[in-house]
Amino acid sequence: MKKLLASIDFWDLLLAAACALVFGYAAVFVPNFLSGFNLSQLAASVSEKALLILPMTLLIIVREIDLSIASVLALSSVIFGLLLQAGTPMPVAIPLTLLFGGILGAFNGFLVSSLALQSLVVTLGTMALYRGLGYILLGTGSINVLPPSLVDFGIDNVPGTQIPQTILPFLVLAPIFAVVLQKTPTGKRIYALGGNPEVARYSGIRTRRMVLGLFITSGVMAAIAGMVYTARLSNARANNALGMELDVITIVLLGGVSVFGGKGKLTGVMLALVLIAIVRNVLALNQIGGDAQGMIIGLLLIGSLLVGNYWRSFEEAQSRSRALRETKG
Amino acid sequence: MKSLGLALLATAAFLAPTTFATADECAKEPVTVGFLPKLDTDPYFKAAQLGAEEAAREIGGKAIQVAPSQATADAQIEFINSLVSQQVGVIAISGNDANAVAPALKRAAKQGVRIISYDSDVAADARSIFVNQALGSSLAEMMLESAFNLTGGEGEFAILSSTPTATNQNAWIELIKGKLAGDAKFAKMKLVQVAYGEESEQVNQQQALALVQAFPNLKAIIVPAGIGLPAAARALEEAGMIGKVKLTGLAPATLIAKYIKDGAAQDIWWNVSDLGYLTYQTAQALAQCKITGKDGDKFSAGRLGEYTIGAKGELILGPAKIVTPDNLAEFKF
Amino acid sequence: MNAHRDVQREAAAGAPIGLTGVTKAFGGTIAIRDVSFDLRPGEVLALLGENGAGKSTCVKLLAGVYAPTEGSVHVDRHPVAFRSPHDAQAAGVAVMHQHPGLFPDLSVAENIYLGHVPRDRFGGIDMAAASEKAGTILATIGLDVPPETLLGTLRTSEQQLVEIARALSLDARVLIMDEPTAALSQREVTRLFAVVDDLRARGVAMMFVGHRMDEIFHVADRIAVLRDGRLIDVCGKAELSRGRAISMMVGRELTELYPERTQSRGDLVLETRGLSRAGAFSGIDLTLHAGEVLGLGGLVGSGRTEIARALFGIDRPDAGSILIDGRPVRFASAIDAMRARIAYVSEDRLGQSLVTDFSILDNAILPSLDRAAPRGLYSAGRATELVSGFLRQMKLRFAGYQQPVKELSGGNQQKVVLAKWLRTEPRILILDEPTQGIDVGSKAEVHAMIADLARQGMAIILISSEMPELIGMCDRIIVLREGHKTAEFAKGEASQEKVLEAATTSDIAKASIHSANDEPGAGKSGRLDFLKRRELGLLAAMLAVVIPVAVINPRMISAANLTAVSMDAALLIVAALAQMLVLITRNIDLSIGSVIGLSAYMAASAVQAFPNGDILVGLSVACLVGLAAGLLNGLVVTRGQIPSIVVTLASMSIYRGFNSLWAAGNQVSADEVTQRWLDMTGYRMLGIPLIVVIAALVLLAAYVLLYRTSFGRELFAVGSNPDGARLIGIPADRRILAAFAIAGLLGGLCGALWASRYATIDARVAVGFELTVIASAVVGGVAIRGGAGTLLGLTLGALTLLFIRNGLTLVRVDPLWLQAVYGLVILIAIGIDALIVRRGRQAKRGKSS
Repeated sequence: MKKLLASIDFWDLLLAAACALVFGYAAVFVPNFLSGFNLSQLAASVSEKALLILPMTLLIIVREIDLSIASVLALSSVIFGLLLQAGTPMPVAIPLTLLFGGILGAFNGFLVSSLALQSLVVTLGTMALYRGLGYILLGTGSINVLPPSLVDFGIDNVPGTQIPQTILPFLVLAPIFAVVLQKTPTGKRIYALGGNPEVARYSGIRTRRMVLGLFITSGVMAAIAGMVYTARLSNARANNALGMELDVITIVLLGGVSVFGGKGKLTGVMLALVLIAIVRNVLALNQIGGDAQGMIIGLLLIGSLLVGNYWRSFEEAQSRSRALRETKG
Repeated sequence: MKSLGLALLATAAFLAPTTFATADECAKEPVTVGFLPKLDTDPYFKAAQLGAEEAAREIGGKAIQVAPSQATADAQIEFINSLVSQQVGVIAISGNDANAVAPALKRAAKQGVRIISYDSDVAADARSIFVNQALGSSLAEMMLESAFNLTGGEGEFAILSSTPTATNQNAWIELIKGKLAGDAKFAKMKLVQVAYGEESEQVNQQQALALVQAFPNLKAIIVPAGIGLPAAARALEEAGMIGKVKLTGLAPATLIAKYIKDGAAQDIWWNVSDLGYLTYQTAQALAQCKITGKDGDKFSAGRLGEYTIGAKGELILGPAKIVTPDNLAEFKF
Repeated sequence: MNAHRDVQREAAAGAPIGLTGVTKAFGGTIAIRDVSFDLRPGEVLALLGENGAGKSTCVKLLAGVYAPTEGSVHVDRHPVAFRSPHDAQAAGVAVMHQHPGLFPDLSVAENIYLGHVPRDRFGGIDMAAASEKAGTILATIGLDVPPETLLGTLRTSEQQLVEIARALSLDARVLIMDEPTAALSQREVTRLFAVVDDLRARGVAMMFVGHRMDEIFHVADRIAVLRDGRLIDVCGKAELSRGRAISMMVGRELTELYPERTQSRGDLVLETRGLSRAGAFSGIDLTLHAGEVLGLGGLVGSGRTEIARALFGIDRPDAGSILIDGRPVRFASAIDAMRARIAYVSEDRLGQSLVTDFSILDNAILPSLDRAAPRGLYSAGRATELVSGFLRQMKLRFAGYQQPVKELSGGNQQKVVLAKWLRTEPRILILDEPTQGIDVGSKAEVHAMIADLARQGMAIILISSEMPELIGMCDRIIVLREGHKTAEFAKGEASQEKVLEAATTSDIAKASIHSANDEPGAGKSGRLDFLKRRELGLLAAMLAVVIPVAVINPRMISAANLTAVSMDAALLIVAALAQMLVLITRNIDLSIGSVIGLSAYMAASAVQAFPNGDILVGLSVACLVGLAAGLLNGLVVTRGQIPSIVVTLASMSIYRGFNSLWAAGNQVSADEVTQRWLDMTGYRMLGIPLIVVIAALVLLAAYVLLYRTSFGRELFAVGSNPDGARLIGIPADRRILAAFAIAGLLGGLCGALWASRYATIDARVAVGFELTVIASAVVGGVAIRGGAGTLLGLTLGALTLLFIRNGLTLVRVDPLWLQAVYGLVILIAIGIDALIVRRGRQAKRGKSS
């Protein structure tokens, strides 16, 4: 039990408390917040973001970033739509789309790892390039005649529950990501690479290959999110998920992942996802529009990081004075 | 978090989801109407909202409005759900994407919320009524007609649309293309390019000027997008081209009043505030079962008088007007 | 001579600077405890101690880099509190740092004079005078490069000389030298000491930190000995013999330190034949047997570490071969070397061996993770089992396996590193300065361990700067100098003198190094070519768009089109300049679009409200709003210690949200503002739109600020090397704050121009514009990593992007292609940049070999 308590860190605790607080407030004061419909749709509405935060967390832990992730989503969605439109059966279209997403990710990864370019700039370029390719491929149109099984998947709940089916890919993949990151040698290597790339290299970690792998993962996950998006909105279009990359990055940063690398857990990021989703939902239920919501999320991000920093410097001062006492005595 | 998320969903799963009225139930009192425009704090929708509030003061009930910060279907869906949770009687939506919001709207309808669309339609099976500012074909026709008159009926013209995926604009552009191909009257007019202003004053100005340079024989530009027409007018004015290349399109009359007065541009517009007013009236009539959205349904819409629903549940506010220096004062927006 | 000096000492019995009872703690580690000493005018105090004894901490306390935890620094016998290196500099203290706080993106002259550049009549910096004076100082210390050369192109030893020149240029009354000679040749050291003698005669108080006894006994008047963070004693040079000094340093007699070993040489396990790597080492032949300890001696930078890196698969040799058990091997990365059962304990414990934030367990298990996860799942219990034996064997003192290694002392950290590598069960162990900066007790334990491992048959390469350690531990010693093997000694043959001689004596190898530097102009012209190439490339790219377009559609270059493009370019350039200022300091401003939007809206509504004051009111409101937004960004970044990308990601939404709430759906249209306001940007001066004139003036002001004031050069310095900037007294945080503030101000100005030019203003002005702005800065060659970027490049970058948009429409390309082409252009631009940088680096490596 003690061990369990020790493994929970301050940031996760803070986020969990904030979630509980907002949830509690909303449950009591916001009518219909607790309704099955609201919570179910709340979960459905984060289906794609939830998938994207998984690879983004890993990338930011290793000091990289993928601004093109929403564009990969859109382009995969377009490709998926075009494949289905051409009559490709679903079992073929899905792996092809995943492969395609992987290739888009690999292109990012190649530029970053082999040419040693900064991922911020590379993915700024591919963000425009991939979405632009979507416009070239699909033009002004959209594909909305999709197989009924896909449409049903996008709309229906898991039979007998209020759990939307679109959140299922996340519910399946999140534990896998969490286990890989926290419980496998690969996860430990990811942290080491982010904590200090030189140490990682000198410890026999193939750093380039790992960065490439993470970008491919990012591409594949964005492709999955692209298909979920296509299903949920029964629509494939080049401007799908426009601007979603910033939401995703905001969630990951609020989740306690440091842009300096090596720090952060998926638990924190998932709590941040829940927190932001609930906050946005509560604000919308109080008829507060998107722009003001963005403002509040921004303040939340800066405020929480400031609190975190002050807490850390407080802790450091404590440990310094402890050391002085100990060596004197 | 996993456990928390699951707990959350489990809680949700056990809650009885049937506290809502069914769609068949008719409201006895005026209900709350949730307006869901394309984009937060957009002046166009703010003007419409004023009309809705005016109607609410007249007949009771409440008009609320929420909107996303990104003009995407995805962002709108969250607000559809939120309006359902707030148990509004009717949702009036201006769709960012006709088909992408349809599943969410159908889900809302299952929860007993009535759906109408205004300004920009959604898939017909996802709503009862579409309150249209003017018949789409008539708007396209009027814009083309206006360009015809400005250019003397012959020569090259271009279209400066909003974004490549804008539903209304794409529909109008298709109608214009069809008209050009099918009507001998327009045989001498040639559509040379469709460009996109991306809803930004800057890009609109850049593209307007580039079009003029790209097509030396360009006679007119049709700008079927709110902010594009005044932006294009200003760009041409600064470049000293205004008058040489004629402008027409759709724009809030107040934004382009100056150019209308000096005859440099034509504008086709409608009373936006009336659109909000009519949408609200329609919503309440639908909620109280005065109408159902059938072809031929009639109801009285306050100061605007009697309205009849047309084919496919389309309700037309009225013919759009060509804004002239004389009638400029009629348009508050 | 001595008499003369004594007289002087009596005359100026003051103490310009010193420490009084100073204790300094970092986190949980005490670096020095209760240390007091004085420097005296006209005298050199040598600070002697082993690595990690606290010498560098003393230096940094005197330099104002650190503040004492307890006790105080005193100047002229008065206690002072240096808040930054700047304060120390103002008190007359100049410092040569061990790891130079230099700026690769700036010229040699700028590096020397940054912070105290000679002024011209207008108060701007006088680079001509600086170059001239820099030339004089460089001549004094014997560095023969033009002062305009970019520092990044110099070799390590040359950079060290620049650091020396920088300290000398301050004409300070206190001069502190922290291991200035480590990377220098004998000739350069002699030159330096001549300068020191000259300063001594002029009454400068000096402190010298070094490792070489010869140098210390040559240069010092008094010697202070530190051990384990405590001051042991301060005595006059005459009162101290070398032997006694050493035993004071290490705390006991030297002979006890090294374990007796009986040599039992086994089979040949490792051999290199003619191993070479350009710029690092060449023609290295060595053999290593099982159970043998082979020493690699030589000065820092002599190629010792570089050979180890090649043996461990970190670098790839250019020529020659590595054989293991007689079979040639090739290592693509460290993992290959580890599979051949080689382990490398790096000299850079914190940089290459340990992730300091991580726990003892996570660090120790890192190379053997797979073994701690027998069924694919990592088990902390299994990992603990794997490493605990080694850690216990080495008597690690720690609170628990989960304790972060940053809380451990140097010696205990090194034990974790050794455990980490021994766990991989190597046959060949390369130890690079294994006892650097660890306490005496741990040191003896490490030595015992080395002896034990060799006895068990492990083949060991020991790299050490500590002569007694090399001689005491090794069976054979190979001595390197400037990348060449200069001697090999068997055990018993080697003496300190012989090894030192082989490590320092000039021979043919030296000549070859210098021949590479024969043409002093080479570096400079090469670097300038590179600059030209960067911007010529952009110009070429732009022309590649403009010319074909102009051929297809001559109206591309018509006055009307060019005017239109130039007006858009003016806006983009002002915004991109704002971004560049922030990027230079190694930060980023994602909120620039929102700042422009907010100030544009505020300006337009102010003009609407006060039509009489239109232009004045509009401009000042926009600028104030922008300035406030920029300051807010800067304050959170510098005071809150939050990375700028996070801060501005948040403030982007905050400013936009605020704008949206404030506007509440209102729109300011052309009719609602005055005509004068609208005409402002379009007003023609000699046919040129005012907005273009304004942008040109802003660029001119930026040129003056960035290139003609020390403020501007310091911005570059902060981005080029943030820690270095702090080290030499540049208030980095204040500069970053100022960069954000100016960026905000420019964003505000851009907003006002936007409002005037585009007339119709609502809350969505410039949404997404930040991406275009960052793209044009990046395409223009402004480095996201900070420190580099030119105004010409920036201008060309903005023009290139605009001409592409304009040109594609002009030749009637489908507008749907625009975005993809944009993305491609960004990728091509950064790709070319990377290629140029890489080629430059290769050229440099080739040149210095």
